[in-house]
Amino acid sequence: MEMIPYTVEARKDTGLYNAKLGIWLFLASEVMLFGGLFSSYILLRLGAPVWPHGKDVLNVPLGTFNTMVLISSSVTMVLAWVALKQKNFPKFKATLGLTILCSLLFMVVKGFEYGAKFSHGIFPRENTYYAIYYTLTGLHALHIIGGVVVLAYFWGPGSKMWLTQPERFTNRIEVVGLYWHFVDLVWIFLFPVLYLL
Amino acid sequence: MSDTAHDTSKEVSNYFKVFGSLAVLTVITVAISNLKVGVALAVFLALLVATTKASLVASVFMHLNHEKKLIYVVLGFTAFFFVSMVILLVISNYSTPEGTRNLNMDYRVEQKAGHHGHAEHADHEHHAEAGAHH
Repeated sequence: MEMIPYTVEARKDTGLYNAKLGIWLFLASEVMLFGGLFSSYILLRLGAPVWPHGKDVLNVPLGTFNTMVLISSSVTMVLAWVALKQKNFPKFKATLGLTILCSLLFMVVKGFEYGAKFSHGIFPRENTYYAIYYTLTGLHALHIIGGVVVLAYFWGPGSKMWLTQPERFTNRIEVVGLYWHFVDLVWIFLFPVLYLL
Repeated sequence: MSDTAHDTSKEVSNYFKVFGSLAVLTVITVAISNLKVGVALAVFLALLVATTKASLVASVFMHLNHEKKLIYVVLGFTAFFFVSMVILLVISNYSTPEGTRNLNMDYRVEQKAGHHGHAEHADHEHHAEAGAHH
């Protein structure tokens, strides 16, 4: 059977297993994606004659709550990886399960926030502020959804790999963790920029 | 073996410390936003807190405090291109080709004309109401 090389052992020239370099290159492209939109936000705001104060139009307590939820999910994510390093599979299941629950909670809260806006007839076309608000938070939410799908796979059917290739599985969890922390990191900037300034 | 077990427990306590710091910083950034300060200072403080939080996540959760050289090289390029992109886009707000500033002004005037159209629409509704009275 053909085996994918460097899933566990490090390549000599990079000093890394391949997936780790891969995810960092992907995250580099994500920095440019969100960076472009952040730059657009700055440009749109500088050029706008009026700009609503985030606090006046968005629900700050809900946003703060969601920030805490995402931070918690990042901690449980890293604990899931530590649990695998400790060869404690039940603890891995519990902590990754909590990560998934946190991310679903985040989406539910975000859904309520969107719902409240939609029910008042406020869509992206309302003004430039809402256009960039929906673009940035919508793209972030898509990243959360994508992450949940992958996390759920590793919690469920994907976790079978633990029985046959535990080290490779541990690396997979580290890689999905890096992605998850990045999504948390983007929200750390989105929250003050859209809700507080 | 006991050495690695000790390392892991220290690692875990570190993660919880970072979690505590992130939670406190989130409360701080919301508290700061309630202060009555100028826009420039508010933006500076908000970005300062956000950057602190982001570097905590990146260095501890994403293990950038001890990573292989190649990843720092990749991130070095990323940082360079990211900063260049932000600067180029923001400069475009200040350095516009001859004549386009006025075009912007015209656009705003057109927008105001658009509002006028809105008022007409309201008038129509008014007429419709009046019609209902008859």
